[in-house]
Formats: sequence, structure tokens, C-alpha cells
Amino acid sequence: VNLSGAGRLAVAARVLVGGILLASGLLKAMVPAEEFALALENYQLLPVTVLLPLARVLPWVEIFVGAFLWAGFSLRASALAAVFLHAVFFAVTLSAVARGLDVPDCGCFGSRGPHMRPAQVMILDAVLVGLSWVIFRDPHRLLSLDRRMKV
Amino acid sequence: MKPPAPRPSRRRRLLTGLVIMGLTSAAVLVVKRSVLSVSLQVPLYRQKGAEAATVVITEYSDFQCPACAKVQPVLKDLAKKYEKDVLVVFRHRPWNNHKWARLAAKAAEAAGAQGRFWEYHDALFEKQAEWSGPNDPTSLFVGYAEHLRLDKQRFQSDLQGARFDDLIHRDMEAAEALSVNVTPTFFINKRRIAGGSQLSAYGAHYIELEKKP
Repeated sequence: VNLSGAGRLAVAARVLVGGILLASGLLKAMVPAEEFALALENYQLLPVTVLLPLARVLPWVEIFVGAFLWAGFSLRASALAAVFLHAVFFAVTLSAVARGLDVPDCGCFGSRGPHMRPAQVMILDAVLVGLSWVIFRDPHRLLSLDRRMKV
Repeated sequence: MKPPAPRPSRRRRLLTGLVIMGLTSAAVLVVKRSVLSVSLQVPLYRQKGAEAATVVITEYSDFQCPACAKVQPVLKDLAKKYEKDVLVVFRHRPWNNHKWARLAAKAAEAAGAQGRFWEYHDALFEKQAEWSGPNDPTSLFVGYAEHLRLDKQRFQSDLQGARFDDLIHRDMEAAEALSVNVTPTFFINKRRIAGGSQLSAYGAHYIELEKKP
């Protein structure tokens, strides 16, 4: 496989975006969903009765999108899902900052993972949106199941 | 001219997606699944409510945690509403970044040994702002004990000694084994609740579910 130029960048982007999604999903899935829901309460956007089901589902969405990106399966759809996820995370954090809310822990990596401040979260999400877009636009799909399956 | 490669069937792609999801789910569940033996025994003085209760609310709490103080009225309302069905059990989960949390836990134990755990528990939460500052709160703790007419000398001796260290440590080990990473955390029988909002939203509902035979 000739890994060069844009193809190489897209593979690196897949490793990074997929890895971060897998890590954040896994760390959250490992701890009780109630604790993730508690972290989400800090954003004051949704009622508790919605947050708890969301906290149960979201880590698994991240895990599956991350695994698909690593495997190179349904790359365009997976990359689009990653763009959507990180854009939503960015918007939610921005809205908390705009409302002057104190969010000591973003909840991004679960209650046992690293705790990030809003500014760090927004920078990371902006970078990940950009890299996910690179994956979405990549025509080469090197080292991917899509390429093997000739999609 | 070379004919175009056949596209994989929709069924094959669906199957591939399901295999990836299945493998990742299995990996997560295998890592997550851990059975640890936890001692769930606590001294009688840290239990209050109906003796023949079918529902046990276990609270993992830190006396220096503001959210733990804030949730007390919600917990009391629930305990009162379901006084015939509920037993409330307190377990210590003091955090290292709360400088006086362990000392406060010991003070509560010392009061418990004299039969006034819950009154002291209430005093610690009500006066949290007073003793949570940078200065050593020992004299304040002794003052609260005097106010409750406890034996001052015995209280001081218990507070300075190591009598309750194991008891508190056992609670912390149980919290660790149960993956209690935030306070307050409640278990209504085995149903978990983290924080006051969840207790308000789900507390009564879970008690009703647990009451059913």
C-alpha cells in the first residue's frame, strides 16, 4: 500500500479520531452511567430524566463510531457521525461558557478519566471536527475494510 | 476493458458492521465485569428507619462535599415519606482533596459511639461552611459534640485515636469496589443514583419499584 500525501493524513486522522472516540467511550462505559449523567447536569441543557438514558447510550455510540473508523468500515458515514458528535460537543461547551456556567469537569472521559476545562474541550473538538472532515473527504480509504470490500 | 468489481451485498456489509459492534461490545463487557467481595456491614448507629424495611437506601457521602450537604433535605423528605418501608444507611466516602473530610468522618463515628451519629451528621452538614476552611476544625468538632452533650473527653480521645480508621477505610474500599466515583451516591437496594437531581427525579420511583413484592 502506497501511504502518501492525503491518504496518509486520512489514515493518521482515522487513528487519532477513532482512538479518542474509543478511549472516551470506553472510559465512560466502564463507570456507572449515573455518574456520566451527573457530569452532563452541569451543562443545564436537558432534564435529568433525559440525561440518564443519554448517558447510557452515548458511550456506546462513541465506541462503535471509533471502532468503525479504526476498521475503516462505512468510512464516510462513520466520519460524518464523528463530525456530528464533536460539533455537538463543541456547541454544548460553547453554550455553557456563554451562559457563564461553571463546568469543572466536561465529563468527556468519564468520572475516572482526565478532567478537562471548557477551553481545552473546545480546542480538542474543533481539531477533531477538522480531522473527521478530512476522513469524510478522503477518496483513497487506505488500510480500510471499505477498500477491501471494494465499496 | 476490465469489468467493474462487484459491490458487496448489503447483507454482507450489515454482517460486517454487526461483527465489529459485537466484538467491541464483548471486549468492553469482559473488561467491565468484575465481581468483588464487598463488606456491606455498617454499625447500627449509622442505620435509621424501619427495622423490617424492604428498601435500604445506602448513602455514600463526604461531610466536606457541598453537594452532599445540599442533598440532605431531599433524602430526609424521602425517608419521612416512606418511613415504614425504608432504612437509611450511611457510608463514608471522604475524598483526599477535602482536607478535613476524614477527620469529620472520625468525629461522626465518635459521636455515633455515644449514640448520636445522626445528630452529629446533621450538624456537620449544616455547619459545613464553618469548619471546611483552611484551619484545623478539631476545636469546632469538639464544640459540636459539647452542644450535643456528648462525653467530651471520650469524644476527643476517639477523634485523636485510630479507633475508627478501619471502619472508615472499609467503607472506602466498598465504595471503590462498587465504583462509587462521585458523592453523594445512593443505592436504593441495588439501584444506583448519583447526586441530588437524580435522587429527586428517581428516588421515589425506585422506592416504589423496590417496595413491590
